[in-house]
Amino acid sequence: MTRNSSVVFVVAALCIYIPGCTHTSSVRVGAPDFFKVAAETPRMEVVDDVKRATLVKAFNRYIGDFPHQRALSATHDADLDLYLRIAQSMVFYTNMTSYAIQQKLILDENTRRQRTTAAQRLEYYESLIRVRDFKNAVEFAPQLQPPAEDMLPEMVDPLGRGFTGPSAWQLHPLLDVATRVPANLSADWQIVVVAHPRCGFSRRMMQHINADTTLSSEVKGRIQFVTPQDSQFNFETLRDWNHRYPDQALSVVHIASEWPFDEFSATPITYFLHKGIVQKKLVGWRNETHRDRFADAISELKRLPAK
Amino acid sequence: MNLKSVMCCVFAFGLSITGGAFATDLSTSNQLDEKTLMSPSAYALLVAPIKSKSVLDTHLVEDADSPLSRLSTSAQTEFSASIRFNEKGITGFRYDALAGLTATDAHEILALFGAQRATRLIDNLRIASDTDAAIMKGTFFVKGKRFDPAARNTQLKFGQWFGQWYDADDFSQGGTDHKGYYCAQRATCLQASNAICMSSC
Repeated sequence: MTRNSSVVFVVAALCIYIPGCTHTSSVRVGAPDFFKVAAETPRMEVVDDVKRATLVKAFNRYIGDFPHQRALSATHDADLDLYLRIAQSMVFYTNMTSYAIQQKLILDENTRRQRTTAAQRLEYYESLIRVRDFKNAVEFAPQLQPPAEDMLPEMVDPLGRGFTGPSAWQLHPLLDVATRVPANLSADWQIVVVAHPRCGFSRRMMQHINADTTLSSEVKGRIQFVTPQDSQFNFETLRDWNHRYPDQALSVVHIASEWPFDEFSATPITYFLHKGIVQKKLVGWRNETHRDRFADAISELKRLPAK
Repeated sequence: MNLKSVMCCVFAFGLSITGGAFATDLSTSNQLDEKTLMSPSAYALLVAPIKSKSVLDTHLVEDADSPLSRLSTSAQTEFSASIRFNEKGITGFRYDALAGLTATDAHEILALFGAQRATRLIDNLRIASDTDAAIMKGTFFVKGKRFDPAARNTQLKFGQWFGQWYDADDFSQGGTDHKGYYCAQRATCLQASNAICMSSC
């Protein structure tokens, strides 16, 4: 046995007996670089697939993998916190259930050590909403302290898991009920606006359309407004908005990747479709220029053959 | 019937159907800035000392007692770099760098930009006093004046009656701050972890 291999052997042997040793070095070394990429992600004003791929690549490169369940119990507290933040970031930018499951495993280990914080529980609840695991979100909600402001209504899903086409949650105007309905995108021309009433640019857009009688009558029955797949359901806010502006009533997208759009992470984004195929995309809404581009895109759509 | 008479009738009608509750609304009107009839959040933005990147840069160099000095140098740089401005002031920021501060400290930092109302949305702030707890429940302060969420809700009802005053929750006048989003250059609100897109975006 050479001198070098003896050192490796001794270190490896020590790691078996020192809790946290196994995963400490990799996550502590890699986490700063990973978080650097995560912090830059919002500034990458590119389509969602590119963002997701960048984050997954950064995770694979700097973190590698999460410790498996048994190894978690031997992971150092500080490393556990890092893993939790990483899992939460991965859920945030990828919308993938597998990372939410990792987040739960780490949270459970933290709970076993009696060091789970209210913020960590809230983040997990928000992750469940993000990955559209509403059943578990409802079950987890009683563990939140203070109680969640973003309480889910009764979620009625007649489509079930088998349905994988584009769908959205429609909010009942009076009851605390949201129902998942399929999105019909097959019309000869139609418009889908990804918007949110808490976004100033989205509000400006929806209110401009509302105030413009020519434009609003032209798009009536052919435009639908949806909110992105994100960490808040905002039932009360959306229902309030829908009540005030019924012509711009919003429904909540179920799984963004099931829609034929390349970007769902910013609002407002307008997709102009011809028989379900995106012909044009209008990003943002600042002023009259956007209004003109919106009107031009409709004219172009209407010129396309109806059959 | 002139406008004044109509308003009197509406007022009397309001008193008659809501009784004590409406009277309470009137008594809480002093929560608003009486001179400007602005909402507390709009007033906070108006009187904020830092409304642009250049003023922020100067502030960081010249004000040694700044609440920002409660952050480490790297956290200060990270937080400052994340702040977005438009011509009226702050439109969004990332709050990772504020983690671990007390709610009061974070409130004081955000008050520099008129964004103190958003303190309650920040995860991982410490609650070490009654004031911290109140801030995390939605209370905020502008120039020493306290605004509580219950009073703000009452103002919203009042605003709806007369269409004159508004609250940050009123869509027609600004809406609420958007947690998990960032005010982007493409005139969009962009999803971003640990960020807040202000209603001024």
